[in-house]
Amino acid sequence: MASIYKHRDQNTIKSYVLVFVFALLVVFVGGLLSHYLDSYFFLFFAVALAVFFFTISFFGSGKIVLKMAHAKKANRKENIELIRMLENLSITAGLPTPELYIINDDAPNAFATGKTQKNSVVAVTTGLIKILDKNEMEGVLAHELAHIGNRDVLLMTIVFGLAGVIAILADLAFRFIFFGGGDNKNGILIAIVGVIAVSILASVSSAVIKAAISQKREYVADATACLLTRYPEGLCGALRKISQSHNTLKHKSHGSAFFFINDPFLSIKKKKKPGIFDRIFSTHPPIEKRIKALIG
Amino acid sequence: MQAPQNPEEKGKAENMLSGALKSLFAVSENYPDLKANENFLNLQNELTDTENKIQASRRFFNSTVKDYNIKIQFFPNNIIASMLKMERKDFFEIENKEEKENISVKF
Repeated sequence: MASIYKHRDQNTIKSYVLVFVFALLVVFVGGLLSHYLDSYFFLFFAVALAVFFFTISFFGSGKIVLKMAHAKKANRKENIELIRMLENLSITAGLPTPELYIINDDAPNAFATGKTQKNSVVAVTTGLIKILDKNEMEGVLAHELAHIGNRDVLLMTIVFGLAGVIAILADLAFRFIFFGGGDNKNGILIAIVGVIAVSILASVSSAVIKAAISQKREYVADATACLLTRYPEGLCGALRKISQSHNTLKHKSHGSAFFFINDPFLSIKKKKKPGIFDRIFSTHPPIEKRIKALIG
Repeated sequence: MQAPQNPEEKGKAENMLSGALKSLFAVSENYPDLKANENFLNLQNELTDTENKIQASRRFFNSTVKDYNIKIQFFPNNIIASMLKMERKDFFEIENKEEKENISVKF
């Protein structure tokens, strides 16, 4: 178990460093755009927007996510075993038991949502319930609990907020050149090139950083889950079974408030092996790597 | 009977509970009608779940104690800890050796 502790701590540190770098990137982009467009408005706007986004999304509700996924609340009569499993894992983790929701879908997947630990929700699909045994299901539930316990939803809200700021900055800068702008006709070409270059670089690096942070948090959640169950083979078995499934979720979205246990947008039929492009931009690490990190 | 106070007393109480439950299940083997009764089955499930919950609490306690014991040894926490007289705590131990063995069911 010693290597799992190390795996968890290393990835935790990496994710915080990446968030810091991302924040710096926002300031940097704001500053560059201000320089090219001769207006410090952009820098102030960048910071103000980031704070604004964060405040707004913090007070939003996580229940919309459940409605989008067509999830129904589990009841003690039909799902008593699952609820008990979740309760006992929550006690082991020292967390209040999240509400359990069931999604009627053949694709095996699960997610956790909720900004505070008290208002959290864990949802599983009927497809997942069908193919997993008790130990594997415990691994999956522990993984979702780990996301809640590690406040990953909060962290990813910040990250998505930062990414949104960069996108808006890039957009604004474009409009500023073509429709606004000052009298400086000489500098306008430099400004256009500069802004385009910065916008493209910023968007690409923002997507890469966002994916990198998300992947690190998935590793942390896997490690935390195994420390909860003390049985890494459970989660690994579940990951293997999920990766071999050919079904994709019916209702999915790019929304930011939840964590599926595996990328819902990864289609098995099209690709044989995820290429470099997928690895950089995907929110989840490749399953083989996740299993290897846990049981070597 | 007074509620147990410290971890040692609580451990003893929990072991007594498991022992009593084992006897209950063993005795019920002699009464097939009782065994098949739905209410009794529900009771068995609830009791087993309660035992699992107690065990989960014990694991949470032990893991927290372990983290705590490790944390107070490192700088700068060790200085603050000794200032505030924070000491190493004990784990919940399982008294009965039989508890650690798997329970075998024979028919």
